[in-house]
Amino acid sequence: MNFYLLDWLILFFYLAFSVFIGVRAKKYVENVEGYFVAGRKVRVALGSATLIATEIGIVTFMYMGELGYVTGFSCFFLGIIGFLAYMVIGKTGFVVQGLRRLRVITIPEFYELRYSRMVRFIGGIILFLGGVLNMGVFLKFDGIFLSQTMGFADAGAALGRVPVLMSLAHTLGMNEATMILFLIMTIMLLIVIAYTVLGGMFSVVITDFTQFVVLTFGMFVATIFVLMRVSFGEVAAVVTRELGDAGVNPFANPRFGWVFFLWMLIGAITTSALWQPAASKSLASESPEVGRKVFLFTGLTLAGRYMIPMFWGVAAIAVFGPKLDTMTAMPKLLATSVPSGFLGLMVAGMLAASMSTYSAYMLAWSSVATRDIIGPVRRRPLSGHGTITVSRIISGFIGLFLLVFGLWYQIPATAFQYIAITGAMYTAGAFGCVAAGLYWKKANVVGAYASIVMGALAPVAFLVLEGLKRSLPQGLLFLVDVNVSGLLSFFLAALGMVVGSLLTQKSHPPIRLPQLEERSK
Amino acid sequence: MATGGIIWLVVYAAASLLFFAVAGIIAVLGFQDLRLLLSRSDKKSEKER
Repeated sequence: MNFYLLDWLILFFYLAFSVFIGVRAKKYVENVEGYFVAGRKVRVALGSATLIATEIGIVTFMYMGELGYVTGFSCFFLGIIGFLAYMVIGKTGFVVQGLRRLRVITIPEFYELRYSRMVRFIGGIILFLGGVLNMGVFLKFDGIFLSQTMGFADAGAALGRVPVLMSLAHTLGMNEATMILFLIMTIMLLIVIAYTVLGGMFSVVITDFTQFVVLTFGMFVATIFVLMRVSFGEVAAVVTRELGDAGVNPFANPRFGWVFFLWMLIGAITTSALWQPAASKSLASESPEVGRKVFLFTGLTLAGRYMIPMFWGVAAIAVFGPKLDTMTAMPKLLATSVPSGFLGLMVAGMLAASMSTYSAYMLAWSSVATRDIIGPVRRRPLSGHGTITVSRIISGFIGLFLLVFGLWYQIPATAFQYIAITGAMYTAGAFGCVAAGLYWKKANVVGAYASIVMGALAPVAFLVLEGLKRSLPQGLLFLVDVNVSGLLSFFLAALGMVVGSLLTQKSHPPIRLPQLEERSK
Repeated sequence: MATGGIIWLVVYAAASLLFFAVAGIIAVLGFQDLRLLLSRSDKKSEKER
């Protein structure tokens, strides 16, 4: 075990503190807007802190670290792309300002305002399924990270002292290390569910802020100890030796190339503005202007938040060589570089990162399920109190799903690209619907359907056909190239919106929104 | 050391420093925002009572 009493104490007090402040936030929830978007009173710095905390989780550290270990410095270009995308949104207010002006709580709500209730319902289902499935892999990454950094070599001895747990482990068919992980994950999830369910966005904002401070400190601690162990010179030398040009030039790296570059560039702008957990932070802001600035401030940190864990991964090549399991190399480096005491602080920081992500995601997906899937099919609309109650129940079920799915799910080989392709299933269509709905007067309901369906086609084809790769004819092999598939989804979604709308202008005249008309004057 | 590696290390150092600097500023200003948000919400709920 790398974790000693001091580390456990730090972790315990940190988790107890999270529960305390999260549960206390319940008193601020007065109505639906209070629960889902913190009464729309969030200002720039607080909004930025909560957005950054939402977007950083152990899962992001894991796949960034893996990319660094596998591709060297060449993956750093993703940080530059993310930075540019957020700067574009932060400077222009692209999508976020328009949605905030309309005072929507979820993105599918916009579909009903601009297209139809059915588009909202279908868009809500795709967003909910894509989001929850995408989130389903997070817990597994957390498990790998924690088991590597905390170390469970003596797990059997520790568990042996608690016979009830020992017999539970045998009943569930788990070994001792998995059982300890299961317990940590369950406790963490229960804490997150408790405060998210009770305090809604108020709890999320308050806990996100403290988690932002703790996770930044954790990242700082980890970076300092990694840099004390390996020098810049050693890292650069090992990248040149082991990876050659592919380690510094993303266009020479077989994993990346121009298609991936374009996919990421388009995807970064669209996903950042349209991914419900992120978008809800700008929708909770005090004004459309504040919503835009939240993205601007967050953008300034973006290159760093990509490159810091990527560098940990690159440094792992210098310490262990390139032959380790790609997923465990980075956490192993942290576990062997950060001393006890600091390790507790770092793990608390990493758990903080995950908790803030889980709470924001749970609230986002439960709000979509309640307002966009259950709401539209009911004859009588849910009352404010009823909406909050249903959302709380769904949050609980999402937590349960994560626990079951996360523990038994097998992570695909290319984690980063897998998460990006499942995300594209929703974002490509959503981008077509929202961007065209806000900025193109001719966008209509047929275009919206075409955009949603065609945007999901290429990613679904990829996920289905990947297993049949060997039996595919040569002409269809491009469909199982994850980069081509991802890029294609955005082109198909845009094509669906343009062609669908233009062909049906007379039969389905577009709906004009007064708020948008006012803005364009 | 190869030029490509040096360039990326400089970019990494700049991005990391920017991250920690902006995070520090956000932490300080965010704390003030948080206090304001909670005091506003406290006053509102007292009024409603």
